[in-house]
Amino acid sequence: MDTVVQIIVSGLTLGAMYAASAIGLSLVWGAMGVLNMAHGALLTIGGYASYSAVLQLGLPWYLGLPAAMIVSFVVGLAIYHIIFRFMYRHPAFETNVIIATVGLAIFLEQVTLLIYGAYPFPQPFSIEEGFYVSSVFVRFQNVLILILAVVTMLLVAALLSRTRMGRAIRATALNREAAQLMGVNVGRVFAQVMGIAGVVAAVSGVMLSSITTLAPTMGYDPMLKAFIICVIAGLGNVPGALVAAFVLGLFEAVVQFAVGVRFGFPALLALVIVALIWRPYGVFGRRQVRRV
Amino acid sequence: MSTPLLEVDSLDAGYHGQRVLRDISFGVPDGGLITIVGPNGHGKSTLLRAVSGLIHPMAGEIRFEGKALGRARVDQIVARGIVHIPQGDMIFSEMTVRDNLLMGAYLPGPYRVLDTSLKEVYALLPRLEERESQIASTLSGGERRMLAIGRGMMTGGRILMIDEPSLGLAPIAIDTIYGLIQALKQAGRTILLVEENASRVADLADRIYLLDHGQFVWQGTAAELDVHDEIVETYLGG
Repeated sequence: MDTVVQIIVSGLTLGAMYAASAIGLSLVWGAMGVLNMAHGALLTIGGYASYSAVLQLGLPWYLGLPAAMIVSFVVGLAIYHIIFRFMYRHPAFETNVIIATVGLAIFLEQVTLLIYGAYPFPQPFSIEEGFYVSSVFVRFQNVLILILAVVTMLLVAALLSRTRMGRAIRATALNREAAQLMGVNVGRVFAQVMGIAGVVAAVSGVMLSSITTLAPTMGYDPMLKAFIICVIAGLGNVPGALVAAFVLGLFEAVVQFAVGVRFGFPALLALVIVALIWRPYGVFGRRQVRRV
Repeated sequence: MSTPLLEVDSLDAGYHGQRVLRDISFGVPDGGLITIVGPNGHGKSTLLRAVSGLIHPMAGEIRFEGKALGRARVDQIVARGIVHIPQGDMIFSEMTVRDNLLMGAYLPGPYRVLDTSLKEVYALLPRLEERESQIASTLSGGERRMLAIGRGMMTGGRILMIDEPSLGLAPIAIDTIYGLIQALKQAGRTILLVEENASRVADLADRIYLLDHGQFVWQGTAAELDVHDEIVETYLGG
């Protein structure tokens, strides 16, 4: 009983964090058809922004998250204006963006290192107290992470399905040329998508660093997991990414418990290989995703 | 006659430095229906793409309401009132019929009169109202075409450019679509229509242009077209 509770708590927490990392990546892929390799840097920046807001500016701990969201939103927009804006009309957009954002990720990581050093600061947006389920101690932080992740997802889903901006994002993803013919300024949609991706990444970065610690390289691992989730779900498929995130989170927790912590990641990769042999276009993916 | 709503003046256009269109000049008067016919692959779609800004002219000028379009972005051209209903519909296949129509009214101007134009479209195309909440990819070919035209109407533009509305449709669906185009014309809409085959459009069009190898080879009215048997045989397949 205790082990089951432990696995479920740990699996749901992992899943929630993976989901929040994956949404941003999936959204950018879906709307623009490109991989933003600096997505992990957005997570890291969010985590540190919360730290600075609380421990350096002296704001109450709960304002760490909104501060992180604002900073990552601005950085997301900046990535559009500094990089994507000059590239999206070019036929080699997809490749160019990967290279440019890898460079940007390294640059941002070094800037973080320069400002904060490599010291593993704790995340102040965190609740130490908790409660017992049977004899297992569950931190409120884990519950908070789950709630935050679910709320973030619901908000993104509502934005995409119910607002004029969300409709334009979906339309651009489905057919960029047709969206333009409806009067959509594709550049502005891309900027909006990068801003939203930044906000969601900040949530994910704050949550992640609250159960581990802050580190300039902390964004790489969740980004890799997010990428795995997107590939399994079918790239650009946001609802599929959510399901995949929780399934993989629980799967990893089970493997970590049953076989050992260090086997969690290899097991995840093995699962990806199997999934892609079975359905090369993603488990929830559509057969044809190439844009014309 | 006063200045046409849309004027194309000595236009050259194409892709990757290759000229597809040479020295194209014509005008579309306010409230008129102008048709460009010609075999496939001879530049009809290229012409519409140049007007809507999807490609930029290599030479010549396009003027709308007397003002040159220059190198304006597609969304800026749409905002000025030029609506391009592209070949093959390009509907947003994974969105509902209603969301597709709402996308037509994306710009702030048409968005403000959304309810009125939605009623107008549904009055003309009741089938779309029946299928309102259906995903667009589940529609039949004829319904997709209706949706593409309805979505174009929602933009509230001053001129509708329709690229091959009969393409790939069954004869009965073509009748419906042409009934719709006739209704739009009667409602006073300005229309620039492109078709491979003139037999359907001849009666509707105020003026017909024949496009062959990127140049206009003949222009005139439907009545004049009947006189020229040779043209009819060559281009319009009788």
